Amino acid sequence: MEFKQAVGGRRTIRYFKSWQPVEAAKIQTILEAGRLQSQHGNAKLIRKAVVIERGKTNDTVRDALIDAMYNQPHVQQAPVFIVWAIDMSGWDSLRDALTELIEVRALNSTHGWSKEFIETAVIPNADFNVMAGDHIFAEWLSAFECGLAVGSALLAAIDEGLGTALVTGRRAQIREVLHMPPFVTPTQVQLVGYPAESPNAGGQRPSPPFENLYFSGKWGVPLKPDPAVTAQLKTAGMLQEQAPARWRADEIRALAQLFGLPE
Amino acid sequence: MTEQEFTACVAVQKYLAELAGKGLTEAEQWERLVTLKEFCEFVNRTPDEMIAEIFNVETQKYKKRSFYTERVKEFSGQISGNWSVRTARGNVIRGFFIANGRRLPNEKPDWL
Repeated sequence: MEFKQAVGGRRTIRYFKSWQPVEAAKIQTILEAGRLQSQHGNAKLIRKAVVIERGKTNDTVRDALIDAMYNQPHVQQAPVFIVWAIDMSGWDSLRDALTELIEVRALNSTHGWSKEFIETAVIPNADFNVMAGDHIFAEWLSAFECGLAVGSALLAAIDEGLGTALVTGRRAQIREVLHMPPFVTPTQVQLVGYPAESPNAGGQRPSPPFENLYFSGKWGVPLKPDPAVTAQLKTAGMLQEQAPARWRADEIRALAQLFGLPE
Repeated sequence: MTEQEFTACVAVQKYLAELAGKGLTEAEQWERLVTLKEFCEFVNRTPDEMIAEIFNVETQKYKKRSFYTERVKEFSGQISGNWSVRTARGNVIRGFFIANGRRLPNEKPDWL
């Protein structure tokens, strides 16, 4: 699948073929996409995940997680959960991660980097070594960095022909069920499976106009999209027909009957 | 409770607005109202009483969700037919609660 198609085709899928398992190779591919995403200081040990699979993971654990996610129908249906988590102890690896980046010539003296620079200017600096300063900022940045990984993982799932969704839940309950240590915080749970609804789920969801989000030169001056580029993005599949498709209500009724859900 | 009083309930008005928005025909809407009225008689409460009772707005916590979950299951079981038919009856009530901002757990098919 082309990247633009994956971006345009991403939906939050809310109806899964619970009976169809997800291939291990696809799960691994999704996780790799998360692992390889950018990370502040390359301290990649801060973002981790627990994979739960219907039929492989103990039913008691899976059922407890479903409960923690409020027993929502798509959670009951999804054959795979990827429970993304922030491990704050991962910041302990920052010095080593930065040193490694120098050794592999990612960070170079062209930009002022040296091992001495790491020790004397970076590690003591709370703007970079977030654990040296206000931990609220450290947690905020950790959530941001974890989100980057999750974003890639979502697109990787689409690229693998799967449906996916992010769900929140009772974090304390999730932590307890999965035996996470106190310095680990579960974030969003990524549901993965083959969609029972149409892969385009009735159309692309509403987004604010481009020019309401992006500014030129300074805050508040709209950056206007080029209509020719917009047309190209439609052709490439990134911008798609908006929801709801005219058949969507009928699809929802059929899915409600299949899964025994209220319409 | 007369039919007029029933339909005039705030909770029923909200439910009807949801049904109309989903494109249900008048006959389909009427059928659901009949089922809802039967459920109200089954639990001996008006629609507005059910909505007020199930959830504590001040604490933002459910008070009687288990009670209504069990009653809906019993209500579904009153009719003959396969699982889909019986669940559909209970889902009318679940849909009513959803239209009023409250959620009862859904029934899962055996194969799920």
